[in-house]
Amino acid sequence: MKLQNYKSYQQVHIWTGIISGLLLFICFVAGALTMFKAPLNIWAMHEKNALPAIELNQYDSLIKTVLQTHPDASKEMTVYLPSAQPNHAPVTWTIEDEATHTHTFWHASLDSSGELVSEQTHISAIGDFLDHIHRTAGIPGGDDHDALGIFVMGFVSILYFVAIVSGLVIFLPTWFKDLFSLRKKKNGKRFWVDFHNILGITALPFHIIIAITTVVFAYHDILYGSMQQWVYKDSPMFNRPAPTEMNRGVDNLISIAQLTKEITDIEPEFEIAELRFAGLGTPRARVLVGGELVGEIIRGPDYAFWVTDPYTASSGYTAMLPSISGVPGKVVNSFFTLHFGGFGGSFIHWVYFAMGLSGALLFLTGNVVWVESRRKKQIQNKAPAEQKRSVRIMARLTVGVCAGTVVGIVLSLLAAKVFSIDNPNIRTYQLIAYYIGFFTPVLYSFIVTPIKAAIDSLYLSSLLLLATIGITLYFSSSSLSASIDIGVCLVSATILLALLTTARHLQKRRSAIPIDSVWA
Amino acid sequence: MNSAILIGALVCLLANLVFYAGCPNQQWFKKSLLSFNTALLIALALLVLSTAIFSLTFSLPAAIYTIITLCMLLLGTLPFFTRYTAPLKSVRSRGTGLTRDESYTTFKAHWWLKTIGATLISFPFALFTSSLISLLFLSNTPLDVKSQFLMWLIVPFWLTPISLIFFAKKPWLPLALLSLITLFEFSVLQVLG
Repeated sequence: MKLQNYKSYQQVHIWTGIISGLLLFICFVAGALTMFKAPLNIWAMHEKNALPAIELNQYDSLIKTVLQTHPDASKEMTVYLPSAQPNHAPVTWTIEDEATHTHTFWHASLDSSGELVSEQTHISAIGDFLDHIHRTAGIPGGDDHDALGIFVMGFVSILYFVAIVSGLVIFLPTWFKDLFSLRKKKNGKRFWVDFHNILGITALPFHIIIAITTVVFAYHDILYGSMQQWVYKDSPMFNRPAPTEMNRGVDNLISIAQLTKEITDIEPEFEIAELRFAGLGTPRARVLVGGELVGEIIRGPDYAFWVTDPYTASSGYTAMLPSISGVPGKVVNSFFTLHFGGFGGSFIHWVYFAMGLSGALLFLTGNVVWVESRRKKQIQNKAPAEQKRSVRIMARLTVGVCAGTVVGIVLSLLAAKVFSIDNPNIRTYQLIAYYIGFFTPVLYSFIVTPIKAAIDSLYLSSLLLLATIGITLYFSSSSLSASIDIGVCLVSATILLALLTTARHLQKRRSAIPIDSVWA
Repeated sequence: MNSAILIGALVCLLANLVFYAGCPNQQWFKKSLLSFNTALLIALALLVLSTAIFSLTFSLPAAIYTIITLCMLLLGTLPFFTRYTAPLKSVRSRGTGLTRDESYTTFKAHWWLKTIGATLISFPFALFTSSLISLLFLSNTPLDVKSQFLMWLIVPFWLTPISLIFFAKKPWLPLALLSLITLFEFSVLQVLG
């Protein structure tokens, strides 16, 4: 390789990495937790937030009663069957105020005598909130589909892709010497470069997939728009079945038993779990049927999907089903499943959780290498060199943003659990808790030295994790799932232990940090 | 978690342990117990076995994805559990392979031209390349799948030239070539309808 190419790619890697690294850190930490989105939603709830579960044969009656009593539910309604991920009620729906665009959340079930129980609910949906942080890096603005943060992360992911390729290019000339090496005794920078290389090179395919899929998720409307404009022109891009004339009354909705039969005729192993109805009563009525297909190439993190007409269960849109999507369909489904970690059930969710945290460490170490590479060293017998402002700021931002992400997420989890008993402002509280938790370490890292900010933030995070365990145990009598509580306590305890060990290690190292260090 | 997944994961772990132990830069033993080639062969055999075990529960593509993901996680973790602070076997230096020719001193990076040029020109290139592929090879595929497949192909085709443009000494040459290919593809698409 020509030296000038190597140096060009070194610059490309440095700048794309430093621009995208911190935002990607936030997304990866939050993304690791979204592997357990549904369990986290349940963890934050209390018995009082939940309605009674019902038998499978009662669902048809419940759906019809809900639609007759609450016609607004026909716009968008979700039904969770007994085999679905744990939830707080068999049926939920959202009502949007047309004037203010504010949403109210409703849920319904049947009581022991078969009478409808329906009420407005104030659940935290902390798992969904963390998913929002994952998709937007916490950048506010725009609504859920057109959030500003999603567009920003699309651009960041382009830089991320270029950073991956350039990182590989600059690793190649010395790969034989550097692959898997972790030289601890050499200078500090060498250790961090080795650390960064190990995480980056071993997970290269994972990072390529995440970068490409994120760009597509962010800009798919633009991509489809370009295809329509330049390729398809006046032809349609998708088959839309012509609306048929029929009575779309509540009584004509197809039964769950019939839906189950139709889908298992197409996909025999499909275990129907979730039904998302939309536009009921209109010619555009549809139902998105979600179901488990463990060990298959599925679209969602938990479910494979089939879209059909809720009145006829016509063959509908089957491209998302693994056994009949063909090779091109499998390729498309693979992109989804490799981003969401949906191909191996809960086992792969745990592996992806670890991959997410490992990715976050990749970005943290990248920033450390950037700072260490630019540190001006003290010349013997001379006063410590004045460090560049950019290096000082980046060192503080690295500590602040990384610690802030952890503190913000744990604080929002705590807010969701503590305030979730019938509190109408729970979603606002968890949002405020996240931003307070995020910005406190960021500001603190600009007030004290980065090393002190790092140590104190690690202790603060540990304390908050301890509080998470304590609060989980405190509310265990009103909890909806003991197994989820145990899982949260074990994961919190493991992360707490890791953070405490890091804090103690940094405290020991603090006295040995050279006077010319940016961190001291 | 069923027993097939557990056994499959353990066999995969064993494969990665063997592979790392045979690597020239391993930091567990003073001298590698196995040569790199032997370790690689054993690891590959174990990975095939692990895939077969995962296939008892998962479909074959899902089993392969699982193995690849597990290998990424394990190979990214094992080097941190070391006995020695540096690789003991001094790996014979093969040199970096970096060469410095006479153009090194006159080399100009052209950052803006390369970045903006590649970003703008490679987008239509990606759009038309994906369209041609779907037109030529996916004629029997349902329209919905074809459209989605096409859309997913655009981004890799778009980002690859953006990433590789920095190899170019003179940026206008690859950019002009990319433009010509794009024009040619557009013309073919117009003719084929």
